[in-house]
Amino acid sequence: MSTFLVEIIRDSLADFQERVADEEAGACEFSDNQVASEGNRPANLATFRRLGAGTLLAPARFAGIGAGPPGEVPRWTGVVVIGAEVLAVSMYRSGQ
Amino acid sequence: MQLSFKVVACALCCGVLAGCSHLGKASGPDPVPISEPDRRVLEEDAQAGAASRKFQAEADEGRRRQIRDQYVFSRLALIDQAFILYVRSLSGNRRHLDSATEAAQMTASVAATLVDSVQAKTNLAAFIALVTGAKANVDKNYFESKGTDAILSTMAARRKEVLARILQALGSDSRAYPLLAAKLDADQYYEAGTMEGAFLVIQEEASKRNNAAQARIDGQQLVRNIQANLGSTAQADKRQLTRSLQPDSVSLAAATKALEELGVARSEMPRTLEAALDVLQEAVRNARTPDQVAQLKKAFVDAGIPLR
Repeated sequence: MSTFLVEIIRDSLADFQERVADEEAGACEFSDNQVASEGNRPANLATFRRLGAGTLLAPARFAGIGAGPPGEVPRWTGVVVIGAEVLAVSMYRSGQ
Repeated sequence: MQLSFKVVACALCCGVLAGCSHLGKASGPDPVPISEPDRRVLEEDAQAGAASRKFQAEADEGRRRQIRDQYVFSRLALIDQAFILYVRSLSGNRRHLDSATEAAQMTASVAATLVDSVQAKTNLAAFIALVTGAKANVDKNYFESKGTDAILSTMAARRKEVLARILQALGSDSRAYPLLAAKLDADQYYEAGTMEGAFLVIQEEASKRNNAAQARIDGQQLVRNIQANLGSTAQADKRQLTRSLQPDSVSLAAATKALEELGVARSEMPRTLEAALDVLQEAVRNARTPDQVAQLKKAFVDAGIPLR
């Protein structure tokens, strides 16, 4: 399966999460994020993996380290830039 | 004088080769030093003008070759000595200095958030950000120093290439390889050990790979930042459109009709259901505004694709 990059600049983790959900609504899966900068502006470069036609996953939820749903194993942990702040977060998917 | 020159030249070459084999390491053997008397001999013999006059004035072939060879070896010895000193100054200090400065700045800016023991989670996130930042700092300097190493490797390779040509040519008589030709080659040997010379070589090689690399970059889609999210309604519609594309839900005729409404030319129409669903899914995937989602939804409805 191929991948593509999505630049995401948001001021709240909730908005970042919704932007990821917008992409995943089109049969793809968030797989990684890197913090990059273009000039002086920090941005997220999220990697999405294309899935087969008609495939939808359980929604991805992002939370700070240690603040995720109790008992759930994170699917991904890394850093995101929200506003001007770099946050360490984990991503969870319920039901998987 | 000629015998002592050859001994000095050989010693210098051995020292330089030993030094070159340690490029990129913090420690390594010191270059073999040149004594002042020997340096004066080398510098005198490396003067192109004086050597050329002697060369032109000499009729004996054996003596002409000696003048030519003496000039070449003297010049190469001085170039090599200067080059190894230059390389050691480039690769020895820069990496440590850059890393130390940036790491200290980053540590100072994050350390303040680690003081309050009550905010454990915030401190942990800050610590992780520090580690991530420090790693990025190491990676950045690692790749920068690797850039310097790549340049130095290019210099070393190019110098060997030119040196091999010179040494081979010195086997020819003074008509086939006159002093002027030897001077030009020695100039090239010097150029090969400079930043400008290395950049020219790197640039030539890079331009050869440019087209293939550009094709690979172009193959990776990058979606620029979109200011607004879809909103709950449009996102739900997009998910519905994706669910509607499961293979057992859609006929090829309906998929083809939807693609026609979306502007796909007949000549480019997919011939199998699987291919048609992939094209429709990509269209849904690329719908990133409420209007685009609504347009797709209309095409699905008009084509008779049941929405799930």
